[in-house]
Amino acid sequence: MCRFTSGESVTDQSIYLDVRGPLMRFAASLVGPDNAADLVSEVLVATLQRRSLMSLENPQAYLMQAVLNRARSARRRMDKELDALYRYATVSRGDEANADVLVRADVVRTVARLPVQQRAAIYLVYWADLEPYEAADLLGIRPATLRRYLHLARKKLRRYLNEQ
Amino acid sequence: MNNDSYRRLAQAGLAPLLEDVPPGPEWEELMPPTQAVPALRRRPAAWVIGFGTATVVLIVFGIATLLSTSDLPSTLTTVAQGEPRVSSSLPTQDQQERTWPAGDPPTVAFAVELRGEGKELNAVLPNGDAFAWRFPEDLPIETATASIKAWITEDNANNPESYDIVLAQGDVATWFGNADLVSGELDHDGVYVYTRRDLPSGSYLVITGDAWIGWIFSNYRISDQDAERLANLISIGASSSGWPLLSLDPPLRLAAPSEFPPLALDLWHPSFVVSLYPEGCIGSASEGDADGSYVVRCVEGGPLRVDVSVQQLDFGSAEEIANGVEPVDSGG
Repeated sequence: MCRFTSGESVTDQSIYLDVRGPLMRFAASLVGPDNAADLVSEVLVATLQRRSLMSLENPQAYLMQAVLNRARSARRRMDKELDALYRYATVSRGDEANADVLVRADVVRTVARLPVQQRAAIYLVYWADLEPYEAADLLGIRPATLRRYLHLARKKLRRYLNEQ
Repeated sequence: MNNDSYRRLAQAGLAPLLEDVPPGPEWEELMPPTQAVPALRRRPAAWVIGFGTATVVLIVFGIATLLSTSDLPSTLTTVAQGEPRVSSSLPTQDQQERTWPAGDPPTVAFAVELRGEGKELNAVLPNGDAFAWRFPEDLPIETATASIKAWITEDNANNPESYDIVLAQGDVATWFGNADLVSGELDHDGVYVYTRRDLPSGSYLVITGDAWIGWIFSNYRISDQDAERLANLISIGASSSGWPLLSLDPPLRLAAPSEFPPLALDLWHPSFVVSLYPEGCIGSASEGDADGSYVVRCVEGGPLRVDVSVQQLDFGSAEEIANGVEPVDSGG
């Protein structure tokens, strides 16, 4: 996740440039890479119309929450696009001979169909390697809530595995 | 299945989305377009300056003459405004209970979306001071008649972009909050969406009738203190037996005492009686844990009936509500 460099003059632009990478990856995990830039743009434009990023206590958390909420709204529009992506996604990571790393499109589809909050949770915890309490802090929710999202997501993943 | 397995699965599922993430919009793209102000290329002609100056002097002189010789009122009066069609103003303290103007009640059909679920609620305003909400029949919960006042606390300001899906459709929507801090706009689907600003403690929405507030406050968390206040204000129109108000569909069934997990009750509604259906299990509500979750541990015994008190209000999606009681996944 983003860390600000101390000692430099902080501006809205510098803050944005610092958080842009994490924000884009987070957005991509929610709405796909093709829609991530639009989502981030919408959030930033809306935010900057109202306030300076410098006025925010934790700009990254604020923007991530905004991205998450907007993604929830945008999800319906983007579902079809995501479906198209997942339909053709057959990805393998690591050694295909090792059965537990063989990834099939079904896995991708299962993850893709998780509610946005659950996907945000698994992204932050399993991809960005944050502790649940850190992820919860970023999303502005209680750790218990984040754990519930994780639990529900895992339940669906488990269901997928059981169906295999 | 351990945590690493979940991690690998999750990473695999996310990988296609994250393998080729573009760098994101440039800063310049985020700036609003500005109108270029053309620079003056030359001074205006002297006669233009002279003519303009003379005109200004004449106007000032004329106004001064008028004011000194007429009996015009010395103050301006504002133009009377029509009644706003969208009621989003903050009622004064003594008006807070009267949520609709007297007279014929508005009859407005609302379509309120359940975000993330694509379902709709239909609600009508049956009288002058209440909303009535009804669940679609396919939702796996039973409604209870409730009068709810929900306090929105400063805690919620931490999530400033959250949507308050207040009421939708048409041009009547009511938010009894601080109008200066809450504004509404129609989104692309015609759903009336309120974007929350920094709501001060004490702002609230009043809903009376067959109500379920969770759909509205999808992102809200209410502090314990305010939840307690909320609980004190809620009157549940339960059956004479007092329960069940909420039934889980399917009911949670636990096969054997040895398999009883601790149950984390993320409460969707205060004062719910949560019925569990193991054949033998007595649960007692423990104290809320450090995170505010309410944990119930089952022990072997008779039918479990838990009267849940408010520890945390954390409204979630329909799916989460349907799964409102679930085993704690302590396996990490």
